[in-house]
Amino acid sequence: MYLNRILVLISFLFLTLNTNAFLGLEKRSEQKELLAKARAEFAAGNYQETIKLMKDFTLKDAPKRRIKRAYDLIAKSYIAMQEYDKALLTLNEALEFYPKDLDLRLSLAEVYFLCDLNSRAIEEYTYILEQDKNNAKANLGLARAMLKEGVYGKACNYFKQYVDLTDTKDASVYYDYAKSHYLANNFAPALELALISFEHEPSADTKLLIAKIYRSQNKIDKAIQTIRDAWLMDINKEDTFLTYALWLAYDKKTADQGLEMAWDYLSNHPKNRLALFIEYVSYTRLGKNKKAQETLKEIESLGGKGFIDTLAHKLLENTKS
Amino acid sequence: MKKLFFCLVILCLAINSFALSAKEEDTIARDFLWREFVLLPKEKRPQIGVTLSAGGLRGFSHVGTMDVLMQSGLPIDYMTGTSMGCIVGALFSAGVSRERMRNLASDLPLSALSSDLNLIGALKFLLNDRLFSSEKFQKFIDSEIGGVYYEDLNIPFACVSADIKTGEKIVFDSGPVARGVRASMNLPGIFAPVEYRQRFLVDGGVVDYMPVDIVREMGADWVLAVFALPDYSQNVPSTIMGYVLRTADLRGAYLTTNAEKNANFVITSRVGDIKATDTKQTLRAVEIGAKDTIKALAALKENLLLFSVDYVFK
Repeated sequence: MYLNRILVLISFLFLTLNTNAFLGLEKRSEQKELLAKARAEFAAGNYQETIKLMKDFTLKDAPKRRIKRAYDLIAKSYIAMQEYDKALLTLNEALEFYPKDLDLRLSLAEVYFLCDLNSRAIEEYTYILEQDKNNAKANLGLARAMLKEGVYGKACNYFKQYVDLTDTKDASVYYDYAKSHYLANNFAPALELALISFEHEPSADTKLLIAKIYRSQNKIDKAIQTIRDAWLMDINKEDTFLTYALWLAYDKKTADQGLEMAWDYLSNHPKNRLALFIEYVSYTRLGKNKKAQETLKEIESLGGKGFIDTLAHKLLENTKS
Repeated sequence: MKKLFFCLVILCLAINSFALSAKEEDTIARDFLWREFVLLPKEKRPQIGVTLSAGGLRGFSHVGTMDVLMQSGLPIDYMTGTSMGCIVGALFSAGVSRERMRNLASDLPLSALSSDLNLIGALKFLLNDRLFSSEKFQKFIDSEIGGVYYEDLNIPFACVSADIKTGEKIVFDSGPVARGVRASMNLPGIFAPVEYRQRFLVDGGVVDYMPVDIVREMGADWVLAVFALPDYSQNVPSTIMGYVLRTADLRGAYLTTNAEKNANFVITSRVGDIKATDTKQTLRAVEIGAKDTIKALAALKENLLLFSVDYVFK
């Protein structure tokens, strides 16, 4: 009698456990499927769908590593959609569960960087590197954050670390690395790195940087030739065009060309202060002082408050005195 | 060929209707003129002077400032400094590397300042009214810069001290650098006066916290003053040392008002929350100095370019 009861009880327990295990397995495979589906949606660029799928994810029952992946996917989707505030909220929520998770902190640092919260980004990247100094992504992130912050010497150090760790062929990394050296007044390494960047992927921006480096090294002819090439690589880049015009205007031998370029630009943008300034520079170089003064008055009449306006005002004052 | 080229220019401009922002235009003009300015030979541009204020250990912010200024390419023709500004200025003028200066900021042992900074010295200070000797610091500076004279420095440099007997301002610009540096940082009430040529020399911050006038007298046309902001914590000091330092800070702030007016440009390092004796925050002071200088750099360049405009367009 007792034995029967015990047998029934054991069978009942066994059944219950089995059912739970079965249900658990089913749930896990469902979660796995859901994650895979979300990943596929993310890869296809369907970020809203990714977020929707991941928000349906049963956070409480899922294993830790899957919850982390879900958060990461949601945050990455928000980043891709440039909804940084939501990405920040998601990552901060995730970090409450996993405060020491370096992948999540890396994503958080990236969002801070993209939101222009540079000092916060630096804090996060520094934390990651304190835990794992060979973390390549953190080295690169910190290098770029330092470059943005204007701390060029440190930026160079982190770029070097990244390049040493990864042996990367990414032209943009070499470009930023070169730019850091250029801005830190180290022109020889800047040139070397800019040329590597250009070799990996030719671009007008890199060519412009190379031209600026040549100019800083006082290799004027080479600089002029290179900036011309840079402009021809992308004729829509106004900064290159106007910088090129300014360089030509500043040199007596080519001032007439600079003047022509300034006029061409002014025909479309008659009130452009930089083009007017280039016109002024050309006139002074060509010895047309009266016309130069007229141009200064024209800049002054625009009533701006920037550097060019103040400069024009000062030059006019000096002429009077 | 030339015609073809300009046809291309016109074609491009016709296609492109997006203009640069005013800020971008200013940046292009400023960066170009700056590069041209720094390439000018020394005799074809105004002479540039930099003066570094006193400030105790907070003044390590000057290391960060000088680091950023060097990277910007700013040519420096003359330098002056008081107290901590004198130490950083002397090391910089002597060519001590930026890395070494950063290391000093992080590792400078207080024992380097005086051989009396120990229990016996403290007892003598408290019971016998005997001030600490700063002789050891002179040796330390000598070891860092190799015993050079002012006349041998890479950048002409002078520092300020005060004669506690007469109240005169004493300028050191010749002889061994280390002696002047020691006299300039010799905080009254803590360190015993340096006896030199019948004078009793104490920290220059007493009479000239930021020696703008001296750097002008040396020949600078354009002067950059770097000011390590004094303690504005608004706490009432709780120790004798605290009162001595606060008095120096208040006097410094008062003296600096005039000096600031005489400078062409002022960089203020916001290190006021760091105590003058806090050895644990020296690296933070360096970082703040660098950060505040980076923030001020565009305005500094514009100020100097406007001052030098006739040289750039000569």
